[in-house]
Amino acid sequence: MKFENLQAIWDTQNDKPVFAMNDARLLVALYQQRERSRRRLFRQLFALLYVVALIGLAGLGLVFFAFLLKSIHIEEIGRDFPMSAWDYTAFAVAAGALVAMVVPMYVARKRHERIQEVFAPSLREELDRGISQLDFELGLCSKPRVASIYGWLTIAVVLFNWEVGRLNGNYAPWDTVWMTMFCIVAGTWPTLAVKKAIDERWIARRRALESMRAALDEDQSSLATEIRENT
Amino acid sequence: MQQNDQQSVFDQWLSSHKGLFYKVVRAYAFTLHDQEDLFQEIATRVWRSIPGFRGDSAVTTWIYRVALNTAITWSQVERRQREGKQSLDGSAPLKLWHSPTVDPRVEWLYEQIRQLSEVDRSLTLLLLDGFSYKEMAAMLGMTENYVGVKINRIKAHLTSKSREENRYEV
Repeated sequence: MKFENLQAIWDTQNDKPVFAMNDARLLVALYQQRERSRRRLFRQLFALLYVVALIGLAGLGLVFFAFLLKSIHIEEIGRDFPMSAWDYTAFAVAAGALVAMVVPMYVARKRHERIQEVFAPSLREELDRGISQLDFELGLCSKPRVASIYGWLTIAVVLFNWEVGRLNGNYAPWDTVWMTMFCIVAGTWPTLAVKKAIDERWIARRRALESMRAALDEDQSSLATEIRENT
Repeated sequence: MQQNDQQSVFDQWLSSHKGLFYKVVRAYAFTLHDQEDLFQEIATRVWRSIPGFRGDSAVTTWIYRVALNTAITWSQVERRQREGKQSLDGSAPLKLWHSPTVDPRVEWLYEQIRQLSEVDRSLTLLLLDGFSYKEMAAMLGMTENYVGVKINRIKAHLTSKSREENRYEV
C-alpha cells in the first residue's frame, strides 16, 4: 500500500468523525459532581447552621434556667436582681431568632431536595438538575438570604450576651452588646469576600453546564435535520 | 486576559478542534484511563497557553504544538513511572470518549503510530494532518532536513508494515 492510501485512511476521520463525547459517562460524571456538591452544601452550610442553632438554643435554655433559679432564690442570695418581663421577652425573641434563621433554610432545602434526590434519566435532565442545584446554591448566597441569616444571628447573639451579662449582675451590660456588634460588623467584610469568590465559581460552573446543554440542543437539532434530509 | 474570555476561547477551540485532541491522545496513550488522563493534561496546558497566543500562527498549529509537547512529556514521565511496575488497576474505566463508527483501518493506523518513538509519533501526526516540513521543524525544534529524513523513514516504515499486513486496502 502506498503512503497516499494511508493518508486517505487517516482522512476518513475528518470526513466522518470517529470520536464523540460519551453521554453516559458524562451523565455519571455530572451526577457525581452534583452529589458531591449537595453533600458539601449540607456539611458546610446546613449542618453548621443546625448545630449553631441547637447550641444557641441549648445555651439560651441554660442561661434561662440559671436566671430563673436565681430569681426564685433571689432573697437567699441577697444581691442582684430577679428576671423581669423584658428578660422573658428577650429569651423568647432570641430563641425565635434562632428558629427563624434555620426554618426557612430547612424548608427551602427540603423543597429543593425533592427533585434532586432522584437520579436523572437523561443527560439533558442531569444538566437541568445541575443548573438547578447551582441556582439553589446561588440563591442561598443571595444578599437578602445572607442578610436575613446575619440579622437573625446578630439578634440572637446580642440578646444572649445581654442576658448573660444580666445573669452576672450587670443591670445594663451595654459593653457586651457593643463588643458583639463590633465582632459581627468586623466579620462582614470577610463574609462578603468569601461570598463573592463562591458566587464567581458557581457562576462559572453554571455557564459551563449551560454551554453543554446548548451543545446538546445543537447536536440534537442537527441530528434531526440529518434524519429529515435522509428520509 | 479575563478568565471569562479565556474560557470562551477555550470552549471554541475545544469544540472546533476536538479531533486534534483526540488524535494526539490516541497516538500517545494506550489505555482508556491513560487517554482520559492525557486529555485532561493537554486540555489544562492548552487552557494555560491561551493568554500567550498572539495569532502569529494558525490556531491548529498552536494547539498541535502545545498538545504534542504535553503528550511527549507525559509519555516520558509515564514510562519512567511504569518501568518495572505492573498496573494493578484491572478495572476498565468508563470511557469519556467513544467511537461510534470504529473503522478498523484507522485503528490499525493508530496501532502502528503507537509503536513509533515519541518524536516520530508527533511527526507522523503532523504529516498526516498536512503540515509542511517547515512547520513541523518549527513546532518540534528540528531542522527541516532532519524532518525530511525522518519523514522518509516513517513513510517507508508505515508502507512496508501495510504491505506485510496487506489487509487494509482502500
